[in-house]
Amino acid sequence: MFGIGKIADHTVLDNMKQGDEQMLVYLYKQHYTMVKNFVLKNSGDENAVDDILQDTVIAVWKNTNKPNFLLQSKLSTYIMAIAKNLWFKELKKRTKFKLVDEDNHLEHGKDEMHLDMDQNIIVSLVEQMDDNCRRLLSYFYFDGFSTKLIAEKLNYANANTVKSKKYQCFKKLQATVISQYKKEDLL
Amino acid sequence: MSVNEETYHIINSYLSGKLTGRALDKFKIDLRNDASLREAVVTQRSIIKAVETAKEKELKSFITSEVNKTRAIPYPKMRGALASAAVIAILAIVIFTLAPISHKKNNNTAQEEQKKPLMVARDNAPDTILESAETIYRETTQVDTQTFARVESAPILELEPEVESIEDDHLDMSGMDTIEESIGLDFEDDIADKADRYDINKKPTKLAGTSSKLGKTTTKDIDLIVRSDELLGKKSYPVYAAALNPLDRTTNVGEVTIQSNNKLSRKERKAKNKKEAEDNSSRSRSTVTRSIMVEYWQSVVNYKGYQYDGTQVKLYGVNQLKSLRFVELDNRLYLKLNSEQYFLEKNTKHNRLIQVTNPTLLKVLNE
Repeated sequence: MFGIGKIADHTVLDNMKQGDEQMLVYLYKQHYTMVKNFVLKNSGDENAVDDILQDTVIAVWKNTNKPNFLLQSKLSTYIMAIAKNLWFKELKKRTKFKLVDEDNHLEHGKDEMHLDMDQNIIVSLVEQMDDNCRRLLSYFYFDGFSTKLIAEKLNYANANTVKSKKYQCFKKLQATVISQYKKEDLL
Repeated sequence: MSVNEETYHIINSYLSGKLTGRALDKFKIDLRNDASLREAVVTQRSIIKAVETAKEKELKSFITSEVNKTRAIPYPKMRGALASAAVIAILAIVIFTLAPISHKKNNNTAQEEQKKPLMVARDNAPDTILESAETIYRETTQVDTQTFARVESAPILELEPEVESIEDDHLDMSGMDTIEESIGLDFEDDIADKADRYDINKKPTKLAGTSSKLGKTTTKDIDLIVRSDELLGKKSYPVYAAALNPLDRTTNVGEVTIQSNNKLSRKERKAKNKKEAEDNSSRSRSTVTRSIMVEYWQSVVNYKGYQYDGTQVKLYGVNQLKSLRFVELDNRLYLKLNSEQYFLEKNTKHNRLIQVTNPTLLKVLNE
């Protein structure tokens, strides 16, 4: 699909706003070499390139759907800026980990592990939801689509239907989560 | 902990930062006072975060799978296909670029071969008349001008049938001594010169594919010798001075004479002038102004003419044995050859011999 030729920036953004996930793949491929060169030159490796680039295109995806998003440069420049920030953040995190003493590290690690475990369980519960609810919640919370667009995508009558449906799905998920965990686990 | 729809939407707005003004203040007061609301907010935040994480995970796995799909299958195939296409394109370019050059080179070589004379010698018979197919062709279509001879290159392939037809005629006319006689050509140069023209002793190269029926000559007997113009000899000739009016040459002398003899009678003066004029005339005819070097050249195309650069004359197709006489008149050089007068123009080109036809000029030149 994107083997030959280049899609204009505004087309990419429009497609992303419409929820075309293939644009993520396109951006990934288009900027892979640039990000790779940057990461490899800055103490990174191939695995880090994949992670950073994935996070970058997902960040672009999320930002694009924000109502006040305005691209004031070339899309590639914007993507490289995000990739650089993410990579420097990652490097900073790595350096910080090295400076932490062993006790603090272990204690901190314990907390992280506890929170990660909780979050992972909820994530797995989200993944187990029915497809419609899962898509509805992700469209609203992750993609930031308007209720009107969600209604179009999920074939609902109107935005109000989306709102009530969203509440129902959330309530269902919340009930599942609460049934599995004590409230202290979530605090 | 379960919240109604309205509270759910308010919490959503609060968490997304869309709750502002009095609604936000009121919500914050409720949050401070209501523990169940705080719990609901925490739960909702965790769930929203989990939804986002799940979606992010899904997108990442989608990107990875799509990228791996293209990396694993189409990329190598595409790369291979592109590499093959590139190789084919390069080969095609090389072929189409080099083919015309080599073709042109072959054509040039063929043309050069055509331009150069091909001499045919019959082995083991040096005393016989040696002819080449091309020579026969050239002599049948012989033109005196060098220019035309150059343009009129004889293609070998076109010659062959003609040679064969001539040879057939030759075979039929067994009584004829030479090919020239058999085809009835009128050559000015004698046949003996032809033997000199062709280098018999040189080891010839074979002309493949050319058939010949001349005597015992076969394909193997046909040999090629590439020749160029040949200098036959040099001679220095005196250049005699001539004048249209012999009296002109002695005008000054005559004037002096007249001036010194003003006192002589008219009859005596006339007789004296006549005598002096006769003396001058005879003197001028025999006066040698300079000598000129004459080179006798044999052209490979049997060109007849001359080249005169002011100091030496190159004569093409003129027999050395024939006597020449050079006369200079009004800075113009005239050549007397076979009792004919020719005007020699001074330039670096090859010129044809132009015969003088003006009777007055001929009279002066022949005096």
